[in-house]
Amino acid sequence: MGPYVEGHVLSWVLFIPGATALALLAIGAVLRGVFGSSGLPGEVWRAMALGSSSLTFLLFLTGAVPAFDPEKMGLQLVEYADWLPGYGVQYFVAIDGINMCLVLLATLMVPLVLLASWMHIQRSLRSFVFFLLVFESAVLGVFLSFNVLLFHIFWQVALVTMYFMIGIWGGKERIFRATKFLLHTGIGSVLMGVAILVLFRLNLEASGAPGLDLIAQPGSIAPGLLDLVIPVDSSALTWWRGQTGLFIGFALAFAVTLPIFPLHSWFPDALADAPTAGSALMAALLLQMGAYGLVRFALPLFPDAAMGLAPIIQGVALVSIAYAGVCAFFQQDLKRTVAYLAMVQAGFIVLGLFSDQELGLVGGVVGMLSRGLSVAALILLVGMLERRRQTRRIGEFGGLAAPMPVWVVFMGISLMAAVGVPSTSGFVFELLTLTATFFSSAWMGIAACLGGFGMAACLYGMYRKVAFGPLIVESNRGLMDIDWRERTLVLALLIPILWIGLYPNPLLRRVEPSVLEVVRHMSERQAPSPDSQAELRARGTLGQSTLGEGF
Amino acid sequence: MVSELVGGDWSGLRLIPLAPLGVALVLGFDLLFGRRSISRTGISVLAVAGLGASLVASILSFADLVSNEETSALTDRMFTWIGAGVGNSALIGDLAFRFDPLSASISLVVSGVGFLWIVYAVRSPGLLGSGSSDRQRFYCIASFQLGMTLVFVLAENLLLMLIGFAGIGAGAYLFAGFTHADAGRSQRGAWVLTLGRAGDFALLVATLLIFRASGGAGTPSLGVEDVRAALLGLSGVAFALPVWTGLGEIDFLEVIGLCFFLASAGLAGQLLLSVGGSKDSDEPFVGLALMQTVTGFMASGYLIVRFSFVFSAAPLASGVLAVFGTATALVAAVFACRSHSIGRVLMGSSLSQLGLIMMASGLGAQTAAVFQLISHSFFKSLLLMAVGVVILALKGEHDLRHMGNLGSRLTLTRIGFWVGAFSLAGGLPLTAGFFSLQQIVVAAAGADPGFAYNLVYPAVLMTGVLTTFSVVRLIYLALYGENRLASPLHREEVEDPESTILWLMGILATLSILGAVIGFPQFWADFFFSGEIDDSNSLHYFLSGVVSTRAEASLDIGQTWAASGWALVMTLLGGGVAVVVYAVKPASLEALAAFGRRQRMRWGTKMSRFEFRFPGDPKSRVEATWSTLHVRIVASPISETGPLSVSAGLLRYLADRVLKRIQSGFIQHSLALSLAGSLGLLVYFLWAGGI
Repeated sequence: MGPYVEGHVLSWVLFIPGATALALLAIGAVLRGVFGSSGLPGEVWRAMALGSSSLTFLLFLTGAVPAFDPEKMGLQLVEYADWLPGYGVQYFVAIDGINMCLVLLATLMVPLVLLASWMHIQRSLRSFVFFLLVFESAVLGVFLSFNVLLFHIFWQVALVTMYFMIGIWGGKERIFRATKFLLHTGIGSVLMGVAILVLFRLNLEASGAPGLDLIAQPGSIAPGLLDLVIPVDSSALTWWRGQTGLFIGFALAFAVTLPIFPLHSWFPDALADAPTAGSALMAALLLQMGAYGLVRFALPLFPDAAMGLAPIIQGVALVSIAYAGVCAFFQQDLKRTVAYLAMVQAGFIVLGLFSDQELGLVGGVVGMLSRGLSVAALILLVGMLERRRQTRRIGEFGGLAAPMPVWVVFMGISLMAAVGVPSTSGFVFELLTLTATFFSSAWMGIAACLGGFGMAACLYGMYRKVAFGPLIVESNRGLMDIDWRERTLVLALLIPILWIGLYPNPLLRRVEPSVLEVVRHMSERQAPSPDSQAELRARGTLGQSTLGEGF
Repeated sequence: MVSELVGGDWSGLRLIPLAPLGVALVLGFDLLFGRRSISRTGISVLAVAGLGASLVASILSFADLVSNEETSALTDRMFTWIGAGVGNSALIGDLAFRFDPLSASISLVVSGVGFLWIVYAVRSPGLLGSGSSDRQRFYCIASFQLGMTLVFVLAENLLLMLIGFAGIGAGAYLFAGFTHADAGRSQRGAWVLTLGRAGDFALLVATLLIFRASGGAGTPSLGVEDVRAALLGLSGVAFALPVWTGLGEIDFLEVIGLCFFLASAGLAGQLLLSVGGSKDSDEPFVGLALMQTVTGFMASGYLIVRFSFVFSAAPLASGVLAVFGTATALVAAVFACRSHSIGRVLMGSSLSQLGLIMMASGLGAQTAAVFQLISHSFFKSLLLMAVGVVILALKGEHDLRHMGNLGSRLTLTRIGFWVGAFSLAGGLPLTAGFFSLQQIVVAAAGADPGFAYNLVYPAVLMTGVLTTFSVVRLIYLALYGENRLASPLHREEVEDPESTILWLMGILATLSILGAVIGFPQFWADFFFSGEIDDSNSLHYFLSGVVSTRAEASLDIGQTWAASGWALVMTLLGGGVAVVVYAVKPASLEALAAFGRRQRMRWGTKMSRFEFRFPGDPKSRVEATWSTLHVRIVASPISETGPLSVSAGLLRYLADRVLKRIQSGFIQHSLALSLAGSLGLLVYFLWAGGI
């Protein structure tokens, strides 16, 4: 690795896709302006995009992953530079065990999505490639940023690029769906933006220096936000300065993106109407941004508010699991079924994150990765089927095991992962989150198990209707099974699913130290109180000789 | 002993489950991604080698276990499979296998009988399905399910047990939905999968509750031995039920016991659903046979016996187990008597036997339960192999009404039928089945007094009558009486199978008879040997440190012999009735059938008056109701109705009156908006800066 890359791997990873997009745009403009041509052909854009996104993946895989020390606590490969120091905005990127797996997922997904949609995006190909690359940089920025405002900027860019991808390349109702998407996520972002401004003011008041870094770095004048003492309850007039108000500002933005009941209504529509590439990116990456935001910012910054509201949030998560399960049962559209499945998983992730247990946080992080992999695999598979039959209606299928056995097997494995069948990544994630939930409340854990079972039962029914039984619809008879290119694409997602399911320990070993850091920050920032969760935990659950309490 | 032979520590335990799983992986990979390039011979060799290696490893491990007096269990720890959490909530699960007397007994039977079945399948390809890739698919699924059963049995911790359990369910699903193009089979497959998942979740809930409890006690562990110690220490700890139930508290071990019971029942349900009606095909026959003799059946019984110490300390859970087991035994035996499908008759009898095992376990007779598990595997395999011979000879015919008078053509197979039938019915003294049933009947007779328990003993006796009746009926309809074949001349082509299959049946017949020596009841030993043998029941002795046996009910020797005698009488009665009804006086059968039809018509007419009818299709009504709720309340906040309409109206007003003007799509408006936003931000920063 050259001297220019050494020490700046994360910046290269972060900016290669976006810079490629801008370079292609500039070259096109020059060609048009100077030579009067119509700019670079779409095929060149596509090839360059594949090259740059593959390079990003390889660079992260060979440059950042080996350099990451799983035994070390804290941030690694930190890159820090002044940007707008007077306003607390610094260029601050780093990796730890939590975002490393998500960055890996993001860099893997984009080349896969490009290959999956290789011949299927014809309209405005150059714009599509441009938005795809900008989206990749934005998502990577979200995952890598440790400055809150920098995070927010990347967050906004990611939402806007996804808005365009739905609005331009979506289905018949794309404008309505895209607007609905932007309205929901935009309102959430505004609330987060306001909360960030308040945080800035609080930090300024406390230290006299402007700063929005999560963790103070050598050379920075302001303390990190994690060192900022934020009161739990403020007076009626200054409620917006208290942890609860700020937490709600952040959490709403993240809850919309997760998505969770009742803030989810944009999601099935947007996922169903987006092109396969957009849906896959939305499911694999955009949704994880919400869960990641909770782990990275909302929980460590406002631990008392988060834990105070945890029973309500966990209750909402349970409702979300049940609600999405019932909705999935009644869907006639395969993609919408997958959307509700992703919502069920979001419910499990939230259950884990708010369990006040380290296991739950680890489970939540593994859940992000698992959900990204399994739902993206399902979306790709549904897209492959849709291209062959020009429909996604479940009633139009049946007996696909005969003409498309490999598709059926891959669909089965992806579904198994999504519903948490042992030996898949979904099981590891559900096991950890459910274990944590059981520690938090046994009955809540049992309710979550029942929800998971209901969901599995619904999906098995759907799978049977699509894959098995006699071939009644004539059009299905001559369907071609997925080819080698398609198999490779899906396998690239299924192999990690099975790998994590069969041998999760290497992943957990990398995630856990970082999660412990989050737990440490939460414990340090939690106000000591006899009723606090930490106190309860210290007393031990069984000391009361009664199990099952807390329902 | 083996350690000395191989020079060093014998750690071949992993080979027991991993050898068949490896074969499944190779065959599955070739099916999906290869060009199905493995030849038929190659597939057979691989499958036999996988199970053969597993069997050899089981035997060697068993030899090492019994020769090693210093330890009561062998352990093979490969690596930490999952590890997360700290302190009281540290969740650690190793990929490790444990070979104690119970897992040794069961794994020997699973790998041994599984091996015999694989050899049988190699020599009977007609019973593996009719499709071009069916043979490879069968061996792949069979190796997978057998491997997963062995993982389940040998698992050192509950997490690994969960993996094995789910794998057995997945295998059951793959067998149940083997002929997936058949609508009925695919539906059955979905139900099997759903039931399996219900079992998975029940086991998961038990695991997590145990983990929480052991973590709370400061020793978080899911190792089978640690769990035993932790749970025994938790006896008497209360588990609070939700306040709204008004039920207060329940003993923690009762909850765990009920979860284990549900998991086991889930597997039993899978067995029931995996066979179809007389008109359905039951491909692959060998797969379904494996499930009811080795994989699903064994796992269901093993789970209960493994955690017998929970049931010993949980009277409610053990009561539920005993009553449910008795009811299952009785109902399944009736089911076996009624069915015309040869597969369903035997599945009914298998379920009935599983019910007896659950009942015995619920009553604390764990050794009897294990003995029945083992001996059932022998004699039911023998019966099923004999039945397979008939099905193969009749080109896939499963309906007993289209068989008959084949006995003289199948002279050696007929012996297998009768040995298996007598062992199953417990009517042939000195066979394994006879002694295992005797012990179960004695346990039932000695059950604690109480309303439900009072019914157990007569129900067991009745089950004996029905079981004998069903199996004698099966043999009579298949081998004796008039020739009812679809083409009567086809009978002349039927003949005994080749020698390999006869050898396999011979081995199983020998095991069915000689297996008796491992569980020879003490009261029989006292009778025969005048009290000179103290530990005649060597299985009981072997398992004494592992399974938990509740204090025996006080049956004196007279009562024991009376219970034993009644069991024999009832068995003979069932067989006698079958002989009378089918062989001596067939007219009585017609009269019985006519009586049944009359009663059905009579009660059917009466019942129809009380029948509740949904207006329209219930599913579509539920769907419509849900859809309305969904649209009105949640999904469409911009709709005219629903509680969110106020906010939606406000939003619409804002969009119409304000946003539309600002966000017109003109770039100058957009720029102005951005500028205003930036200015606002700047003002805030300045204000925040205190200027």
